[in-house]
Parts: sequence; C-alpha cells; structure tokens
Amino acid sequence: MPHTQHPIELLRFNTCGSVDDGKSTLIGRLLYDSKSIMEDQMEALERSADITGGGAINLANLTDGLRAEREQGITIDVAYRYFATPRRKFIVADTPGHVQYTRNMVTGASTANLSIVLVDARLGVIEQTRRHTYLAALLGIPHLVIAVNKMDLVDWSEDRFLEIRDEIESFLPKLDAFKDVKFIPISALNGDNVVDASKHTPWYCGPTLLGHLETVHIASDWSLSGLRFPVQWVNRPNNPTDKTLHDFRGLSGQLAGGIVKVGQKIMVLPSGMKSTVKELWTYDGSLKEAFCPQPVTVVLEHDLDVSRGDILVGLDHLPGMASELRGRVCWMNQRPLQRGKKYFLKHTSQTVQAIVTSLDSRINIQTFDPEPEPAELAANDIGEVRIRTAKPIVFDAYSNNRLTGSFILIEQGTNATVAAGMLYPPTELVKPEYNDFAI
Amino acid sequence: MSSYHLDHLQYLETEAIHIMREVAAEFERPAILFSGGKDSICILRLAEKAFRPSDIPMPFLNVETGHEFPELIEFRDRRAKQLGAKLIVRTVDEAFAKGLATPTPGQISRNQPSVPKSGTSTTPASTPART
Ligand SMILES: Nc1nc2c(ncn2[C@@H]2O[C@H](COP(=O)(O)OP(=O)(O)O)[C@@H](O)[C@H]2O)c(=O)[nH]1
Repeated sequence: MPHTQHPIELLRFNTCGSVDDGKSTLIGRLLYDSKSIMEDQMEALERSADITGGGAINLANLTDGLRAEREQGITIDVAYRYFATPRRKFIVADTPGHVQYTRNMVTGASTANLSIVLVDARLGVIEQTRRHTYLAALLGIPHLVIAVNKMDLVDWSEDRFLEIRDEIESFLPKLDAFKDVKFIPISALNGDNVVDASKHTPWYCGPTLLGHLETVHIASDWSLSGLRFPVQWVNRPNNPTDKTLHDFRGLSGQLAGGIVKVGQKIMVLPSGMKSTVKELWTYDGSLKEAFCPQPVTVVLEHDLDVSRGDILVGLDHLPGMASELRGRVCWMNQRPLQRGKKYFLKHTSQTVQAIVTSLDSRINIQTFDPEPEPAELAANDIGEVRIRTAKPIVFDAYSNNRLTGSFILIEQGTNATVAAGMLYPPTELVKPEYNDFAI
Repeated sequence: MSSYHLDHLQYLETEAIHIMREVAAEFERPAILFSGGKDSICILRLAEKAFRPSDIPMPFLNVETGHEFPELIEFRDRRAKQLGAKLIVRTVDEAFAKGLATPTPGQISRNQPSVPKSGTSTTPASTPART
C-alpha cells in the first residue's frame, strides 16, 4: 500500500431493535455529533425544532426520509447512511420495517462488520433482542454491540444495566459466534456515551459507542487463509490492432479468500486442472500478490478451458465440492419453502438448478433450538435444509468464509430471491491430487 | 497490523468492480449511463478498472434533458470515442413525445420526469443509435 500513515478504514454496521427503541435517534445522534449532515439538512432540522420541538432538535427526523417514503408506498428495503470521523468512515445500513425484518436485516447486514442491537432499558430483553442477536450470529457478523438505550429513563441504574447484560450473556454461548461483544449504557436522545462519555455513568469504564466503532479491530475480518478466486468474467481483448493484447486471456474476478501470488500453483475447480499464476493484471499495474477482497485479472501459464462459475484455489486449505449440501436458510418469501420444488441456487459466480430435498428443522427463536421436521418454512423463518444441485458446488463452511459459504435461492419463473443460505462445513475436502480431466 | 489492508476508497472500489463484472456477465443488454458529468466520469473509470485490457463490454447511454451545455456534449462524445465505446443518445423530448414519460408537475429540472411503472409500456429498441 502506498500509505505512509494508517489508512482510513471503512466500518460497516447496522442497527437493530424493535419500534421505538431509538434506532433513528441513535443514527441521527451519530450523524449530528460527527457533523456529517449537510448544512441545508441542518437548517431544516433547526427550523423544525423551533416549530415543533420547543427548541430541541428531533434527531429521529434526520433519518425519517425512510418513513415518509414508506408511507407513500415506496418500498425501500435498506437505506445506507454515511458518516466519518478523522479515524474511520462508516456506512450504516438502516433497515426499516418489522414485518420483513429478517429479510431486510439479511440484505442490510450481510456485509456488515458489526451489529448494534438496541435494548430499551425499561423493557429489557424482549423477543426482538433475541431474534436480532441470533440473526447477527447467523450472518456471521464478527462484532456485536448491545446498546442499552434510554438509560435516562431508569435513573442511570447500574443494576438495571447489569441485569440486562447478564441475561444476554446467559444465551450468547449458545450462539457460538462473535469475535467480541460490548455492552454500552447510552441515551441516544441526550447523547450520553454515544460520542462523549456520560457524567451519569461513573460506574461504566468502557468506551463510548463511537469510540468503540472507531477502534474495534476489523482488519482481520476477511479470510486470508485459503485462496479462493471465483471467475466472474473471462477477459479476452481479441484486439487485432494490438499484438500484445491479441493473445491476452485473463480471468477477472474478486478474491473471495486468501492471497494469490505470481508463480503460485493453483487448481481450477471443478475440473481439477492445475496451472501456475503468470500475471496478476490490474488497471493500475500488475501486482506481485493480491489478497481478499481485491479484484484482479489472473493470467495463467497454460491456456486452460476456464469459464465463469469456475473457481481457482490454492493447493493447501482446499475447499469442499459436492452436489448434496447442508446449511441454514432464512426464508424471505410469502410463499413458503417447499420440499421437492426446483429453485435456482446462486453461489459465488455460478447459478445452478437445485432442489430442496429435505427440511430438517425450523429454529425456535425463543430457545435457539432446532425443532425437527417442520411442515414448511414461512417468511422470516430460519431452518436447516438439505439441497441437491444439478452440478457440484465448490464451497467452504460459512463460518470459515462468508463469500464461498453463502448462497441464495431464486424462484424459477418470478426470479424472486426467496432465501439466503449459509452452508455447513463440507464432509469431505478436495484432495490435492484430484483431477477430473476426463470430462 | 498486516499490509493486507484496503483503505475505505479502495474497498468501495472493489465492490463497484465486482458489481460491474456481474452485470456484464449476467445481463442481456446492459448499458452504462454516461452524461459526461462527474458521477458518470467516475463510473467510466470504474468500468475501465473492471474490464481492461478488454474494451468495456457495454454501450454508453445518455438521455439528454435538452438543458446541457455544448461543452458537456462535446466532452461526452469525445470521451466515448476515446474509450472506443458505442454511445446511444436519446432525449427527454423524444420520451415525452412517445408518451414514455411525462413532465413532473412543479419540476423544472428534467432529470426526474415521471415514468410509468415498468411493464406498462414496451419499447422497440430498433431506433438506430447516434454514435
Ligand atoms: N428518554 C429517552 N428517549 C429516547 C431515547 N432514545 C430515543 N428516545 C425516544 O424514543 C422514541 C422512539 O425513538 P426512535 O428513534 O424514533 O425509535 P426507532 O423506532 O427505533 O427508530 C422517540 O420519542 C425518541 O425521542 C433515549 O435515550 N432516552
């Protein structure tokens, strides 16, 4: 990297909570206190404060655009908001709606580094808290913040805060997720412990919410262990006027895991053909090595028959390859999941026919326990399924790689995305000596 | 901290490049909206990053509002030519005349005409492109 100082990192997060827990107020507070709002927005806010707020600015209005749009019947699943501090840039996925909550959260949080689950200090842990924490764990979001909000309404009681913390900590081990979990007592409305430390919570010695967002370690959130390079697009200039380009044949894609180096031996899956990396071409010049999630165009020593949907892997940390898959799905469609029905399954850069052969269980959101053999999965349900694909899929466990371990199901005919899926670990890995040239 | 590290702009760029390649690979007739303005100049550079050394595998499309400065049009045409891309130009007036869109009441800007919900009109794509 050309940087001499620390580069500015990007942190993506989402906020969850049920209605009136203070999500809009919190996002408004972060935008306002980090001075990330446009002057005209600010003037409008201040004007509305004079008219309706008795002088106080209503922070929730900053993000109320969404609400207005929804009332007009415009569907917006996820709105992204941007703010920055001198240390980091932030993208907040604002996921409205309660009916479609699971779907929206899956959409908005699938790339998030961190989730903030808001808990109203007066109400404590409710079903939504458990559901959102479960979803964050299911989606493999590495960092979790439980923001206990409206502390001003419980007299800044440390006991109340600890009670909520203990209850959540009692079920966290069951989820077996998250690199770190932070509990922060806040008042989104007044700003306590959001940007500045509160004088009302002398018993709390942790960071403020923004302080945590600025410093939580995210550099290792990407998987750098096994080389995974799904081919997106075969890059063949076929340029008759330029000799050097005439024979150029590159494989364009984005590293979904690991590091690739010039001179490295790779295997193409599913065929098993092997070659060596000759060049890592980018518009800004060739690289000696590239890492996840960088996009590159890989040129191989041999002119192999490789196309979109194939995946290049390194010879160590090999993935699984199977057409019988097991995993968990979040069902997102009004028509329930049907066993035996044909869907398209999209996994990295390939789309294949697939059948859900078995519906093993439906997860009970209260207990997090799987309930065996449900009749169906309805919208927002999470369940364990078995799927058979028409062609073998090259994959990793979602817990090891969020890119090669995830898929979506697409309904045939309507092309609607009906499920987001997370794969269980493969039962068998590809062997280094594997090849399937014969086909 | 390792050197395997992207800053925020590099990171956003990886996402943009990924999406452009998916679009090129999965859609039948994609186009890049290119007006010559700052946003679309940025998009073109991202497209170069996504597809070079090949040509950008989709045409550029601009729907002229009729309010453009001549310098902008000149720049748009020149840039498309430099990149060897096919440039398709249509106009808001044409869209109004064909009933594909209607002026939005109270809107002086023609960037946001009202367009009926998709599916209600089918447009033949046969009009020859101006390049
Ligand atoms: N007293 C108090 N009220 C709050 C706090 N945070 C939010 N509220 C109020 O709770 C209500 C719901 O907040 P809002 O941000 O709209 O919730 P959302 O539905 O989660 O977006 C509003 O009246 C807020 O002013 C807080 O920390 N303390």
